[in-house]
Amino acid sequence: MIRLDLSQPVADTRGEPVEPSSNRVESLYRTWWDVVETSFRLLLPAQAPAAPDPRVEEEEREKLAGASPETKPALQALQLMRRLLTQYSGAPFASFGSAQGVHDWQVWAKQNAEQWKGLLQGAGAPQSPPAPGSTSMYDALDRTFAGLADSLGMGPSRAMRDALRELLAAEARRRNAQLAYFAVFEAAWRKIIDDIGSRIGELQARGERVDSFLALVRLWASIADQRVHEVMQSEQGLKAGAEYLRAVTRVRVQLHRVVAIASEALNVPTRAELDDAYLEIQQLKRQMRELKRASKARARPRRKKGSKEQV
Amino acid sequence: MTAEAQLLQQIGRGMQRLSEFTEQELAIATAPKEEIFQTDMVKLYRYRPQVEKPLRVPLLIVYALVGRYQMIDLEAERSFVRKLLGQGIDVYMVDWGLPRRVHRWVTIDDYVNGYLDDCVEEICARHGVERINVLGVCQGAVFSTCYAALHPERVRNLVLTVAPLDFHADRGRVEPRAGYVNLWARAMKAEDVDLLVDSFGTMPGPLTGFMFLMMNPVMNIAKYTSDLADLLGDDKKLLNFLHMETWIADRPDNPGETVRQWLKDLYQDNKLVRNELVLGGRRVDLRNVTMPVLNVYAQGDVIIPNACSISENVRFGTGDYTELAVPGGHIGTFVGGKAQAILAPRIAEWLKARMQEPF
Repeated sequence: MIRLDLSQPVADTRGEPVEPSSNRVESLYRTWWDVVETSFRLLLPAQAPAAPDPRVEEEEREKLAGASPETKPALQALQLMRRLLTQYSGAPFASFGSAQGVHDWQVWAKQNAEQWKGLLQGAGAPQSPPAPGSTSMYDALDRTFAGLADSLGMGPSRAMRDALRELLAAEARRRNAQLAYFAVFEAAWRKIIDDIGSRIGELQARGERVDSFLALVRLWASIADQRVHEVMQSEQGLKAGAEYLRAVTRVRVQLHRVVAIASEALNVPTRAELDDAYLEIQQLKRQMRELKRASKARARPRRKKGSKEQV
Repeated sequence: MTAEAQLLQQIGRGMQRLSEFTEQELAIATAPKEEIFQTDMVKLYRYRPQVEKPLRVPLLIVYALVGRYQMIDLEAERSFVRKLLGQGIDVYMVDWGLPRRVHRWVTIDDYVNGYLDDCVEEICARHGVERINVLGVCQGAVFSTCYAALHPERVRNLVLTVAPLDFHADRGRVEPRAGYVNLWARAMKAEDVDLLVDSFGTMPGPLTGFMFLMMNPVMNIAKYTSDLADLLGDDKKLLNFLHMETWIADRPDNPGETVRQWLKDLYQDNKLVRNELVLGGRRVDLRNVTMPVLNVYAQGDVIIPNACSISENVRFGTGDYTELAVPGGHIGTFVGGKAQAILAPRIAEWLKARMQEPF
């Protein structure tokens, strides 16, 4: 698999400070690179990639090193495209116009639908949250003799253990919600694959062919766009999306709890305490605003009756 | 030569060209402007007038919080701001800045009755006028509407562009590929919104950006492959692409309390058109919008369905209400070639017609 190094923040090669938000250009692309790469591989029959050309790689490295934050993501997108094209040259695009090509497409399209299913399910393998009564005998004893444990400084430790257990349960529920969400889209992917097969058949009947990577991407995108939107706007899609978001935010809430326990144990301000301070600041700002406004209103000369505003 | 080989050559040339663009070529929002006021993270800019005697009553542009104001001055050749300046309008712009964790409790009331009112006051004082013209964009148009309803004495003319006013007008008439944010927000329960805001505090900009990308998930893949490859031989188009991407990716974080109110009171409960929205203890009553209103909507808007912008449920108190349809999408309205030929000239014409009679 090709993996571009996107772990490091964008370096400002001009030695000037970069506004934090400008680095986000890269995060915009990152999402789609992975999808393009995965799609590309799934839309091609299994074959070993050719070794990359070291000279080309060196040249690309130089270009990226000198790139500005604005152009770097586009450069990386092109770099990815070039590598995919080079490493998988000889892909079946040229054969799409032939009867054999269409047949081949339909065979591996079905296989790919299965691959998609496996991929999506693998990303969200269902898990069971820990059962409520599954605490150990040690935990029960610990609670019974909590006073003694707490006097020895074990209170936070026990609270942390409970919080971690809740976090794990929330994470299990998140993965299940993710699976349900992906399952909605998996049905769409199957339709997309079928539609692409049909469209290629239609093209072939008219004596036309899909003869390039870009043509394939365009064909794929135009078909997939319609199907994905249908799913996204469906009641089922919206419900699964809302449940997934709910599960994700519940994980975050549990994570905050874990961090809060650790922060309190270490005498570090918790997020809730900071939020309280921020709230107080905001309320003071509002009071200041009202005072300033009242003061201005008293100082402002009133317009004379009958005077007209100039234009 | 095969199509693949041609594409590889094209990519090679494109990569070379990308590495040659200068900082000046890549810059966006280059119309000359001066910062004249700042409070918290908010700044007020005045663009340098392009005519000797601009219209005496200036225009304040109020952009949305979910993106940066630079979009309306993306490129010199397709800058909405420059076109307004060229029409003799004196243009101010409020830059909402980059909210941080400390701004987590900032509410819509703070934006409307605080920052926006401060900006209007500042402009009025500088120009010696009691009222100014206000132009709101999308979420900024909602803020402008609220401001006009709560402070009608400060707004001479109100221009709304791609404004979500009736958040439920799309109900029962879902158009393919349109209005996904409306559907998404309504699919959540009220407590989901609370959970979202409470767990994030300040809503991260990339999260908002991802939401917008997911509105068109598949075509975005084509955009970064086939569309990008098609642009490689044309410097102007390639720069357009880079400028737009730079803007799209630059999503500011949003204060949690503002997000909470935006999603619950507006997207879920549709309080604006019901005259039920309360800001700072005062009810926003659209019947108080008594100044002339120009409501501009984009015919191809998939983010704010047309029905939400020009709903019959929106009942302003003004007797001078005009609707203007502009070709293009939500953003294309401000940067697209066809829309550019209409938008600024028609707004300027509308404003000037309402500035003839002193009152």
